[in-house]
Formats: sequence, C-alpha cells, structure tokens
Amino acid sequence: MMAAARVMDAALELLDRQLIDCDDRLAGNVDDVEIVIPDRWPDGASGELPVVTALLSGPGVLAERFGGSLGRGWSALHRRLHPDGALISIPIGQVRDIGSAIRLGLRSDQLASNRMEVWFRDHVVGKIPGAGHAAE
Amino acid sequence: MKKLFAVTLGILTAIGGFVDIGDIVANAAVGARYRWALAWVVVVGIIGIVLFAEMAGRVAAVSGRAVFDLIRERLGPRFALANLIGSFFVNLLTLTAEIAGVALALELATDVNYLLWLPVCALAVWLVIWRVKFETLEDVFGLLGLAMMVIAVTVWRAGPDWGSIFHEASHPTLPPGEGLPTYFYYAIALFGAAMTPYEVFFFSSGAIEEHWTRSDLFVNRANVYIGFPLGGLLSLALMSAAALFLNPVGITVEHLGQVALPTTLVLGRTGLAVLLVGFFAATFGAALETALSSGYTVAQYFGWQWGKFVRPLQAARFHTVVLAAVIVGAIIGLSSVDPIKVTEYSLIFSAVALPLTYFPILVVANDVGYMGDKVNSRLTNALGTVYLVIVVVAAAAAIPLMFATKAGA
Repeated sequence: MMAAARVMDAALELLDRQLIDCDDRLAGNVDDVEIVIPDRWPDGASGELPVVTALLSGPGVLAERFGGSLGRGWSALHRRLHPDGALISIPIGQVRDIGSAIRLGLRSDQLASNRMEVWFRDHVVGKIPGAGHAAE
Repeated sequence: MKKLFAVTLGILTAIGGFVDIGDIVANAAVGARYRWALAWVVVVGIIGIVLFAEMAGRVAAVSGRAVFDLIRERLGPRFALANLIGSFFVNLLTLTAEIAGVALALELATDVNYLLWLPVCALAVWLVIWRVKFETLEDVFGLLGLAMMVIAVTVWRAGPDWGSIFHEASHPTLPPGEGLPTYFYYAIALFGAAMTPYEVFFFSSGAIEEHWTRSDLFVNRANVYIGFPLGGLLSLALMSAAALFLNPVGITVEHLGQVALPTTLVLGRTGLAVLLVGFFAATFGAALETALSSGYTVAQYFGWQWGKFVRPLQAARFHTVVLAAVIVGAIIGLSSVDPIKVTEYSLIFSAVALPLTYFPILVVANDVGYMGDKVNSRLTNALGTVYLVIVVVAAAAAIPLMFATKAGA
C-alpha cells in the first residue's frame, strides 16, 4: 500500500532549512535545490516531469543564489579559496525526513562544506586547552 | 529546587536584556530627567518582549529551531544577511559596553581604574563560555542578578507617595523646557532596550541548549512570565530611585556611580555592596548573553553546528566567532570609548533591526508545519500584529529622531 503523496512547496519547505546528519549534528543549510528538467519539457511527448535530484549546500552555492555584485564578489572569493570548485550536492536519496529540519542519512564529515569547520577545528579551536572536553 | 532553577534562563535573559549596563544608566537617566513620564514605555516594552519571547521559546521547544534559523527560512538569505550584519554589529557594541560595564562595577568596588580591569573581565567572560556548562552559567548569573532587587528595596524603604507616582506615570507631562522629539527619542531607546533582539536570540537558543521539547512548554511560559516582568520591574525601580533622589537636586545621570547614590543614601554601605554584586552579575550575564548570541546568529544563518551542548571541538566555527567577538569587544573597550554612549547608540540601532527579527517569529509561530497544534491563538496574533506595527513605527522613527535631537542632548 502506498502512502498518500505529500504536496510540497520546494521554495518554502526545502530552501534555507537546517540540515542534520545521521549523528544529530547540524550540517549546514539547504542553500539551493537541484532540479533536472527533462528534454523538451513542458511540451515533450515523453510525459516526464521535472524532478528534484539533490540538495545543494555550502557558501559557494549561497553566493550563486545571492546574485548581484555581492554574489559575484563572494563567488569569486570562494573560487579562489577552493579552486577545485567543489560544491556539495546531497543526492535526494540521502534525505531521511523533511520537517522543520532536513535529516540526512550520511555524516557531516562526508560533506565538502565541512572543510571549513575542520580547518577551524585544527587551526584555532583545537589549539586551545580544554577544547575536547565537555563543559563542567 | 529543580523547579526553582527551571526559570533561571528567563531571569538571566531578562536581567541581561533589561538591566544591562545601557539600561541601568538609561533608566536612571530617564528617571532623573523625566521622572515617571516615560514609565508607560517600559510597560509597553514588557508586554512586547513577553509576547515574542513566549513565541520564540514555543517554536524552539516544538520545532527545535532557534530564532535566526527562522529569520533565514522566512526572509530568505538576502534580508536575513542584512539582519545578521545589523544584529551582529549591535551585539558587538553591546558586548563591548557590557565588558566595560563589568569593569566599571569592579572599579566602583575597588577604586582600580576600569581600563585595567577590562582585559581581565574579557578573559573571564570567554573562560566562562569556554568551560562552564550552560545550565550552571544560567543558574549562577540568573540568581546573582537578583541582587539588583536591592534597587526595588531602596524605592520601597524611601516610602514614596505611591498614589502620586501612579498619577504621574499615567498622566505623562513634559518637564518644563523639554521638547517632544527628545521625549520620543528616549521613548524609542527604552522600547529598544526592552525588546533588544539578542534577548530572543539568546532565549530561543538557550531553550535548545537545555533540550526543551513539547513537554517543556509550561517551563517556557514560567520563564517568560516570571523573568521578563521581573526585568521590567527592576527597570521601573531604577527609574523611580532616580526620580525620587536625583531629580529634585538636579543630578543628570552620566555614569554608573550616580545610579548607586539613592541606594547608598537609603540602605548605607551594605545596600551599596549588594547593589555592586547586582551590577556585576547583570553586566557579566549580559556579556555572556551577547557574546554567545554573536556565535548563535552567525552559526544559525549558515547552518553550522553551534551550542555549548557539544564539545568546543565539535562546534569549531561557532567558538571561533564567539572568541573573535570577545577579543574585538575588548579592543574597542580599551580604546576608552565611553561605554555608556556605546550602549545608548546600540539601543537606537537595535530599534531599527527589530522588524526583521520579530516578523519571522510571528509568521513561523502560525505555521502548522513547524508548530502542529501549538500555533498562536487569535489573541496572540492580534497582539503580535499590533506590536509589529509599533515596532515598524519605532524603527522608522529611530534614526531621524537621533539626528533631530542630536542623540537626546
């Protein structure tokens, strides 16, 4: 038996939502959504519909969405810092739940946007005594 | 005991928000200058912050989302970034003033110049954030902040004519020689002080630090209905003490020492000692609140891991932002800017940022997708809408009035 389909407004219910990984860690926001549009849609004879294939997350993605001179400047800066241009694309199949946050089936350290977190962990916060202990 | 401690988040938020260094001085300055003619603004402010803090706490408990998440989800990344930049700037100014405020309280107690205390205070603020558990921090500073109640005792012991105070407060008239623009400038500063956005950033994030769920909605209400009116009561007490003792002899309040005069007169050295503990706790609590809020807002905008409920290593970017904010705040403070002036300006700027913060809260508190059956009641929505109008008017008038009155001169 199939559950009743839930109608969603992608702009309202996906964009800018918090991502949470499988260890309950906060893992970035949904900065954009990837949609694959079939050839010749909407007039095509194939009858296929556009499909949301991935959630995109990371400062580079956000910069593209900003547009304008701020977006371009931000984008350029981001490309200089990350010349490989890695944006993170989370396949829609990794999404476990869509609610007030979006739960993923993978760990945040598998995501490219986590690199900045790792940098600050290794170079700043990790150097301070007591960083690895829970507060008392 | 556990029940008693359950409301310390609200008390800390409210004492930090209502009676931080800026408000302590602003309330006393207003009392000395206008007596009770602006008391109504404090009442309007209390109702507003109770209304929106309750919504923010309820949304956090039911949906697990703190206020800056909602701001980005509902305003989109561009408007949310504008709010983030504005709020971060206001937060940093306030943090600067609070660190200086802690140092000023220590100067009053020790006669050692506050600039010498300032780096020590900044380090202490950061260490508490780095090492002390959220619950401990909120219990200690929430309860110590209650020492500020001595200001209410001062007013009580002075035995004023309550009937005539009530009459002055309910029939506000301008003192001779004062203009309306300046009166409204101070009204907006007091309103901004009561509703500063970092209160809801801190309160909602604190709810998540404490792992509130649906079953804590009662705790949320208790926090809001006890904490914020208590903060407002202290504001009114500061105003009244200044109106009773400083206004008749023509003292205009410019620094912290003058705020302590009425208590010293009425309750002597013991009263002063308790008041200094209160000053210390309130400003230190507000410094913690603003330093944490700078991390909360940035991390929530970008979706980073934040909070003291994980080890610092697991929230590296969050702790980096907090550390940077404390360092920058201390440096600005050491440049010997007048901390009182810094907060007075930050209150006006925060009035401008208010609509961008409170509008998304009201929208999400009505969203069934987040809230299920816990959406706003009709009464809450009616009041919320009225307050949004007030907030927009105050935001629009704040900057023009600041220029027109030369910042209340």
